[in-house]
Amino acid sequence: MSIRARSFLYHLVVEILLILLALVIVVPLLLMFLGSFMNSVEVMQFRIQLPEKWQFSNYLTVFEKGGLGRAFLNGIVITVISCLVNIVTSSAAAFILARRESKLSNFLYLFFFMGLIAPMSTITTIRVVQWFGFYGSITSVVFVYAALNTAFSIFLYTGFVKSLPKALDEAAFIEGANIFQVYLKIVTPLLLPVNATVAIMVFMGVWNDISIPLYFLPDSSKWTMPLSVYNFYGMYSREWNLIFADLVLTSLPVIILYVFAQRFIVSGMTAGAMKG
Amino acid sequence: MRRRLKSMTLGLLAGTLALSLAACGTAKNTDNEGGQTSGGSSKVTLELAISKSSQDSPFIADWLIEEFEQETGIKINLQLIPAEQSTTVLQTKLAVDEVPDLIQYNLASAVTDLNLERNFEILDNEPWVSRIQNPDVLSAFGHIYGFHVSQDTGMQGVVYNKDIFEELGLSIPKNYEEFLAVCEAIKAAGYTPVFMPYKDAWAANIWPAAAFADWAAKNDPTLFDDLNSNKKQWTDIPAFEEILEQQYQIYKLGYTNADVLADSYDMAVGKFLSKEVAMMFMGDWLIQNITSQDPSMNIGLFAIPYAEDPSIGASPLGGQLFIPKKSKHIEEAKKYLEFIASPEIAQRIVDAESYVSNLSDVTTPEQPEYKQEIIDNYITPKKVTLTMDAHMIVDQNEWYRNLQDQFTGMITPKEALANWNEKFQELMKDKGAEGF
Amino acid sequence: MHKSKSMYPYYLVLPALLVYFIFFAFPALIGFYYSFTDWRLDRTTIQFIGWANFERIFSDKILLLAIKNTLIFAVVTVIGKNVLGLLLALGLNMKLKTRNLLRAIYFTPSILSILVISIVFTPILRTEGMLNGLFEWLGFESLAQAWLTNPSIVIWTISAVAIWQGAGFQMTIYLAGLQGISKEYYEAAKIDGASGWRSFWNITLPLLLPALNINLMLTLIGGLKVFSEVYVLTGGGPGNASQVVGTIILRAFGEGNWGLGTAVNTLLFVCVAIIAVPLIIFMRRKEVAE
Repeated sequence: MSIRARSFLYHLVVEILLILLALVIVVPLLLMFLGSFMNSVEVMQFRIQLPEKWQFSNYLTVFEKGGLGRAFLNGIVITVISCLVNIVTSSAAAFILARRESKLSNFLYLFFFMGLIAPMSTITTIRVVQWFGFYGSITSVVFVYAALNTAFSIFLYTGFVKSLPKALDEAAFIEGANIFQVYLKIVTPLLLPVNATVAIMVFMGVWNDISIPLYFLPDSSKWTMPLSVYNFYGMYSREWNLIFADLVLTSLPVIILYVFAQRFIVSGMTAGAMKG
Repeated sequence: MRRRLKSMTLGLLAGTLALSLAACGTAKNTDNEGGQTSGGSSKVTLELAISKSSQDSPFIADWLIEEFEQETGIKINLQLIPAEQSTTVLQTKLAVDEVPDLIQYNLASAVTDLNLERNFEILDNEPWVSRIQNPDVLSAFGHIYGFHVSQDTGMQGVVYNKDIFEELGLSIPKNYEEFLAVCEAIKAAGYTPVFMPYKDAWAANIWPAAAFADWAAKNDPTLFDDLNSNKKQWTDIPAFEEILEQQYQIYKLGYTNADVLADSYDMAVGKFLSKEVAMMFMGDWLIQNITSQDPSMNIGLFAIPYAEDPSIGASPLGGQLFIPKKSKHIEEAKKYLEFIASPEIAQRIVDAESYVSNLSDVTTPEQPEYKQEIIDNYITPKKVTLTMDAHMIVDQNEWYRNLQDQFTGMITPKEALANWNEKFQELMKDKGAEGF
Repeated sequence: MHKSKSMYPYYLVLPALLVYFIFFAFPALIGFYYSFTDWRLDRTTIQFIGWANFERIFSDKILLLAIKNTLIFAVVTVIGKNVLGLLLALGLNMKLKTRNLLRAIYFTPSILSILVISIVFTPILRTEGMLNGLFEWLGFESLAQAWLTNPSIVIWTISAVAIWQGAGFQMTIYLAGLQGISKEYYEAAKIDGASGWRSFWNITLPLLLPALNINLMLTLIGGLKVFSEVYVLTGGGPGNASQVVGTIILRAFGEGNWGLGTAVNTLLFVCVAIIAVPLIIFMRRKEVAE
């Protein structure tokens, strides 16, 4: 057998295996997806089957009764801004922490790292926000989310900045670039795959969170989508079709983001090529 | 100095934000808008916090909130808090003085969980108080703290499908042996005799809570006081063991759903509607939930048949409205209570919910059949006992978990009681109860 | 040398440090103080009580069970998520037709709300649920289990669900790492006649070290801090069978004992730090050496 044929066969086997394994993921999700189009009796059988009649109206019901429009906008505003604040501040910090090898940078790195381990203290955080005088505002929630995710983002970024050769920025410095130019024009593009990963993870964490708004936003008209879904879940606790429709709607933005971000994650190829 | 530090940090933070926000103006807008409504310069908005599990409460009905806004111009914003988190969220909000203006909660739990005396307004001087017939269901520590238009306590026992009983020619069992015989007959006819949704651990407490209380009332009237003052131990009472064993036997004999630890309470209504099950140990609120879905259902309630001629369990009235002392709009919140208490509005609520009215100028509507039966069979002949829950002043979740554990087959009733006894001691000591 | 240091000014760290310190680290530090108090919300005063809370923790037999469960969960998920994640990444780094679709599918569970996991898996894992139905259909009746209600296997079930959800995330990190490895290394290895396994051990794995470090760290910490997976699937039950340290904390809070709850939290923090910090220092040194 020729090498080409063998490699083709090998690829084929791997692909088939992976597709079969993917069923383990797809089947439970299909249960939710198909269920969201069924009527409330049919869905209770919890079987993987096409709905007798596709009830698109479930989605309409969910959207209207759940008041999802407002919650969706709140969620987008809070999530996008938290993500931006987090990504900009963390990647900049990680860039420096990865490049410097001093006691201080080691200490700071560890200090940030502790954030992955330490529990959040809700009451004292509320006290801090009160002291600033912006308790109940979306701004406060944005900062809390950005702070909560700082440890994770810095941890991810530092690891990857280290894998970028220092020679790249040194060459730019010699050509007279300043630190901002190096950061924005050299490092950031190379970090694109990591940016995409961090963006998705932070986005997801904030988007799906149901506890911070409960504690930090007394005005429930500012609450985000999963909380509305959660309320809705109780209201129609026996109507699984509506619950499923709800879950699909809430999951959608994150999945869409992933589909977009995936292009950038793949573009990590370029980063690797430059390094070699 | 403090001010200066504050404005400096704020400035730095603002810089950080501006760095990334240059393009994103929307956030600021939403923020300002929110600030105005809660600042309340022109229009007051009241925040009403309520657990998700109580969302059918008549006090948050759409029509009520709308009419209140039309009449007074005061808006009401609902905070539906996920049920398992509601206590923690409310406790936290009370601790940091960021309170909602109205809270719906159960009076008894407000005493144990929310430090009622310290955190809530006394309502003794409200105009509606003079019309209240039974102030006890709203009072604690000698003052009125809560508001409700009903004085009806929930009744707990065996919720049963009367049609199935009639079809099989069964009558209400008067003791445990008769109950087992009834189960056998129902099982033979192809129905599940008893539905046990013990994934929700608290549901396993209905049988013992009513039976313990009835046993105590008949055999040892001071039992719960003695337990609460550490004069007696939970392990001292053999009857408790028997009662727990009975409930387990019903499962062991195959009279229940197969997967008792996987089924949850929210499935109950569906199980009754589909006529899959004939009975369940629960409160009469379940009957209300079933018949509101399908008014043709014929559902009744009888006392937990743990022994000869038992009495029915009564649980304290829940779902009162409270006003936190730290509320920024106490006057407006009081207006809402006044509005609900006004004869015309209260009558509409009482009629819609078939409440037993607690207001002198609001008449109690004709009670649904099952309630009338409870009145005839139990209330009039004075066969009612407050359930064990009414006597407990500490969190009972560990007790529920032990009951659940019994159904895994890992522990005996004796061990369940011993575990709880130990935990109970600890909780009472923390609470600072006398005798511990 | 001196020049290169000043080229990377610390003020770029400042924004992140400020946000992190003010809204997370500082409140968390203050929060630790409460572990030494008898803080309860049904009492008006808070008193300093020294180590009393910690003494109580160690006399709680449920906590011992919870620690055991936490360790099982951590070990099982660290191994499961990383082995599966790495295998998936290696497979999906090949030129396959359905590569992008498969990546998206495998990644999807890790971006779903934990609520989805609980709602979807409860009906699947019931005794008469889909999984046991599948076993029956395939003729393996003996494999059927009470997945979530049998006290001796429940924690393993929860670990498996966690792997189902998390492996896709580990996969992406490994993928990002793999894509940083230049093809030239492999071509050189091929010319030298190295087998697939050898090039995996000699090229892939060493160059994947940063990704491996990140993943080990994240899964380890996540495993020891486990809370939501247990909370939404069983709430620690049946009875206390699947309690982990994270849910024990909630139990203490639920009983009104906020000081005790914070103390368990502090203890968990210290334990995880003792395991994770030496590891991270070691890894950081190693990375520098590479």
